[in-house]
Amino acid sequence: MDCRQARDKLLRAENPRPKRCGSAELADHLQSCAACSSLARSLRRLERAWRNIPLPATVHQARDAFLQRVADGGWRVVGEYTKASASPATRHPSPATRFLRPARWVAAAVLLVSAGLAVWVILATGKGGNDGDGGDPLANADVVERLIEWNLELAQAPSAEERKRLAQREPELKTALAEAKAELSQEDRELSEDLLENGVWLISHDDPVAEADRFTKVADKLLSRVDRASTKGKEIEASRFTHHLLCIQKFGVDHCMKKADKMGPLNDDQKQHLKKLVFRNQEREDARKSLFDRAPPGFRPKMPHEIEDWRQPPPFGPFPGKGFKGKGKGMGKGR
Amino acid sequence: MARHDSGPEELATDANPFAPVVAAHWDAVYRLLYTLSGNTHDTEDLTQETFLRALSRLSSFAPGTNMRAWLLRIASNAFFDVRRKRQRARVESLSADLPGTATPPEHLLELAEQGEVLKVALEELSETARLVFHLRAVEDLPFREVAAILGSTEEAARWHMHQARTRLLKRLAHLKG
Repeated sequence: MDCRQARDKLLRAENPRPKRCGSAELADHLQSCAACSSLARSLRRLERAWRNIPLPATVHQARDAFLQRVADGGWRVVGEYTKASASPATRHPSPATRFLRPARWVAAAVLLVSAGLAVWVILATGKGGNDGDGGDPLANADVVERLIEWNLELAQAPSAEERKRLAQREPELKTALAEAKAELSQEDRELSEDLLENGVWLISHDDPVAEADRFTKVADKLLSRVDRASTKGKEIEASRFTHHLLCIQKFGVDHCMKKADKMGPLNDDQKQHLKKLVFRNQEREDARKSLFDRAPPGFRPKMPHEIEDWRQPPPFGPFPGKGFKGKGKGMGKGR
Repeated sequence: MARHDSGPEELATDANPFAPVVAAHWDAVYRLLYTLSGNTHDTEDLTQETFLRALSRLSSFAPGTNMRAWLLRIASNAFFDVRRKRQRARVESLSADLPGTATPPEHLLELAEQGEVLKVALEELSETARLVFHLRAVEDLPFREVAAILGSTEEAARWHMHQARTRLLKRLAHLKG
């Protein structure tokens, strides 16, 4: 456990005391890390200080007055209160409220219909936009997913022949990208171009360490997309890029690293490079988890715990009808 | 939670059956409402309201469960009800009073200063984060019970606590610096 994880856990802990924090791992970390231990002490002091703030002097006068009132009035006080605070359903509305109640319903209905119309117009005209930067993230998903799929297939290709076969898809993908470019957001365009360039590079190279490096860079970009989408509260986009990130991590980075490990003795440069990649990937994974943990409970990028196949479509949240499969040439097609 | 377990006998030990309940839990309810509303006038009204609500709904209290948590739940509901009404009526809350004005300042001066700084910092939190922080720090309620009072999940309660602690530490560092 590193300090960032420890702090995150500590801030969520029921009790910041090492012995009562509820995690042996966190308790161990607190024993050995002066900075985190100091944070735990600050939290305890903070809570103690709040507990020790004296109550206003009138607190007991108010209590005595209330008890006196109950003693004088007995059950009548409660009875009067119960009558006065009868549920809104049993309370008689004032004439003004009676007049306003239907008006409120009409206003609510008008708002609801307007919102529905606005959503329909946006979906029907395809002008939803992506922050005004010109792209509909769902409509443009297809080309990005196809390029990711192509990259991963190349990484997984068991032989040079298989890579050559996959290389034949390059012109088709280039055309698809050229056609979709105008529709893509700036970010999607850059990502697609990187993926295309990466795929072309993979066709002619067979160096697992360098391949892992390239997939690591793609994964970094995807994480920043998840981060931005989460910050803006775009759940669909965050879920979609989380899914891609996990696929690139498992079937790109991890796969290439395993391949490098099995390849035989690595030279010093490769070993050094691999070490850096392991570190970089750990950092990114921590950042992803922390991002997920920090997200408000009502908003979490939807993602499975384990990705079994990169061809499975990413979750799309509230628009299940739209996706790659709907476009007819996305993931899972042509196999 | 074991600290405030009680049963119906707690309600029926006196000729005035509510006096022991009021005596035992008044300060806790008052403190919570003071944390939420920030002024004594609203706090006093809401504390009375809380006990009257509790007395009128005694049948909904499950004997053997946590009376304090039950009352705190009623108190937080009372606070949010009033706040909703005020939002509708656009009535501003009364200005905040200083806590502990009648406390002898000799040995509590430093604490009071610290308390005032803390109070300023706490007022900048959302009401929910304030409620969660208070229920954990003062009442020592487990997140399970905090979540029940909030009407949300334990994970949500933890998240609000995370937010409260992070912001308070940052704000205090800024105020003291």
